Amino acid sequence: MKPTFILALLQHGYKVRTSTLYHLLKGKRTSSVLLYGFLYENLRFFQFTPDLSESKFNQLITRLIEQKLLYQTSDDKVQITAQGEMLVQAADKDFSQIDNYRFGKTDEAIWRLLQFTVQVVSHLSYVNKAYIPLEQSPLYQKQVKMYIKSMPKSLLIKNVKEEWHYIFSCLGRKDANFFAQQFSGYERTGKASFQLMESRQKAFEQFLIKKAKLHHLLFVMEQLPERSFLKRLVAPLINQNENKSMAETRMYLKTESSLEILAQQRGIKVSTIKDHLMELALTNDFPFERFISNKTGRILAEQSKPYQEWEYRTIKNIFPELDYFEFRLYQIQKLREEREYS
Amino acid sequence: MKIDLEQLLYDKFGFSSFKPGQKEVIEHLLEKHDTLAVLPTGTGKSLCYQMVGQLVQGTVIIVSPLLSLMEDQVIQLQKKGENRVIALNSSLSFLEKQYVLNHLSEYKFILISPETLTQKEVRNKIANVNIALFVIDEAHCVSQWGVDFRPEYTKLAKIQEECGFPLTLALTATATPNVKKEILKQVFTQQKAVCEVVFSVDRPNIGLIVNRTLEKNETLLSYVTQLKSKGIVYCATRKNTEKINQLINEQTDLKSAFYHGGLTTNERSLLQQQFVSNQLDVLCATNAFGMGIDKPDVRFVIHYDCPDSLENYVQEIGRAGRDQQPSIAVLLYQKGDESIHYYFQSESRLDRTLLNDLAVNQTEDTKKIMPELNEIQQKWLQGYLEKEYTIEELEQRLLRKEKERQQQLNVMLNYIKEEKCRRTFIQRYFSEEVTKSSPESCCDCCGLSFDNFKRQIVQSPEEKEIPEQWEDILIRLFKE
Repeated sequence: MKPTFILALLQHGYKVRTSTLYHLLKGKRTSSVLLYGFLYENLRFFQFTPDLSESKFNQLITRLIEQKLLYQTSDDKVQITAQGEMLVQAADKDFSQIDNYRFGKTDEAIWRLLQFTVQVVSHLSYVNKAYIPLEQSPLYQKQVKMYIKSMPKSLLIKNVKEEWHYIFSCLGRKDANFFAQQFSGYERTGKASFQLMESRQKAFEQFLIKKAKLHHLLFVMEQLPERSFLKRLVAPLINQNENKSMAETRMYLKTESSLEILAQQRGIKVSTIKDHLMELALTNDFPFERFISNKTGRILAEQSKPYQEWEYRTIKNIFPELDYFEFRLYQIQKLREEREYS
Repeated sequence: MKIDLEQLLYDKFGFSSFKPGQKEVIEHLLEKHDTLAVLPTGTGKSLCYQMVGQLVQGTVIIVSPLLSLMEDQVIQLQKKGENRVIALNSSLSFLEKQYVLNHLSEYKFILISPETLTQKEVRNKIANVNIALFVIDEAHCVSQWGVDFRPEYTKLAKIQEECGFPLTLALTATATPNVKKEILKQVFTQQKAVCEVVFSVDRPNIGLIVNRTLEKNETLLSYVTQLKSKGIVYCATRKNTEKINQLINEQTDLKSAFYHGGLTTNERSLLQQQFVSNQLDVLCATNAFGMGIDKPDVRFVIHYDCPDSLENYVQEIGRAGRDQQPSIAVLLYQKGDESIHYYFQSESRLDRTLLNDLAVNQTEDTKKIMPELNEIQQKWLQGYLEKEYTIEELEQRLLRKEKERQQQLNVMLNYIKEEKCRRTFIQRYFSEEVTKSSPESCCDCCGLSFDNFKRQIVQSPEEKEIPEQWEDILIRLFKE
């Protein structure tokens, strides 16, 4: 991994604890780690480098501090320096399409499934059975067979072709070609992704580019109509990125019950329900008003921005009755509003 | 009724005639005779069991030592439209393996690694399958004399017994007399009469050159640009395959790619298919590539690094010219190239040191240390814990293996230094009768000149134009 990548994650300019950033990159799913990711707009790098060791990460941070690209504050936090900011801007890398929180756990599996499906449908359209399936696993084969049998053959071929046509026309030409050239099918052997990338690029850079392209593709696929074949094919795999228990809590949320009743219905602790709701509030449509009292709203409305720098302990010292859960939800709500309008 | 094997060969496999040895092996098996076949690479050993499998009832079990080899075989069968084929090995997830084990009888061809086959659960299931033919591929792995010795292969006799001694075929490409003797002893324990089909390792259509050079990169580029045909550049390490691939892509207009065990199964499969369908000119590969590769018109095999044994070298160059057309094998040698293998050998010395330490410890500690060991060390240790041998015996075995490896490397170096005839050197090493080729197509010692030889080399057909724009790709992929 390049130190400049870490530097880019600290581009937000706030003073932060590096250990939380490490846990975010490793994929530790706790409220504080997820909240950190949300506050500093790094949530999309959740579980981005699950194999990164803490010592290696700390070495990178130390090197950045030594190079005066990061500044270490007295309370053991770090902040990007002006020099560091210049370096990140000069590198001019745009990875805004990466959303590892939404897709990271299953992105590769989804792409393999898509390639395999294209291959099977292509050969089906030429009525050819003698070919080497891209996937040898009997389970994979069974799954694709099941989807393919879900509609008449001619309709399937037409839909798959049209849907890919639509998806590719939503991507830039370069990205659309990047994916299409990886397709195998009748009288066509696709390229491996690394063959389509600059060989001079380092492995990590290739990894970043590939993730960005793939996540953009998946984002486009999510916008397809609900009934479309490809969306139905990938949806179960995309959903696997969610915390299952949280997804269940979301179902109960529709019942408009109180926190205590929700916990009772789900058979889990209130604190766990709060964790789930906090995570849901980060990215989902969320009924903030239901959980933030007017009083808390009034107290927090008087606090000055930026919201990222609000510290619960400091405000609670002035307003001892301030509830942590409500405080965080309010903070999330305001940040989401701010980002939406910016 | 007598089966017209030639007709079947044409109908099922698309060939008009058998290659040397194939028909004899198939006939022996159809007459229910256990058979040992020593057929050189490129003679289509796998066709023997593929065809018998089509003709008899029951399942064909193929024990195969390498994952890549199994993948290749699965692919070959699938290309012929045979879908009842599965590779049962460590690359399957737990769920996949359970699925396959519960549906074993649905498969016609089961490729299985010796490690998987020796697992109790698998053995029990296999014993209940109606086995038409039990194939031991790369049977030389059974021999402790060989470089590829695999301890699991010595357990095969027990498994054959559990399966009621099914009809057995042992296949190998390279077997010195000692190795052959050991295969007969280990694999055909019960059988008195075993049919043997043995053909020479010599491939007269492959010209042999050793180029002792000071500038390997330049020499390599000169060869590949002059040859202008499809071929393989073998390297000893993954890193070198990537480095050489980059060199070729940057310095020539040839289409090159690299191939090694670090790529995913899917990537390897794609690259192999690209190479077979002439989308690539050159494939820079480690020895993970090639066993069972189904491309008859590989025109050259260049070794960028020094091979570790003549056995492996002969196997690897055997991937050239399977269509019997003139092809060439070039070995680039720079003084000291063999040092890479000294490094691998020093790893083996470390293994022995580790075992020595373990011998002093108690068994409990030994179990605890298991997760810290590498795969091969774990395997050795497992055998010890299961009381198959003592630590001392294991150490002796490793020591012997080290010495053998050193000997093999010395043979390789002697081949490089050979001044009379390289072909004769190979034939003598495998205790074969020496057959002379014409000097101008034999080897560089005999007078083969690269400049003259390259003119004989037939070019492969150019690939079809492959569309690169997504709109064209979609139109060609889906026929409405």
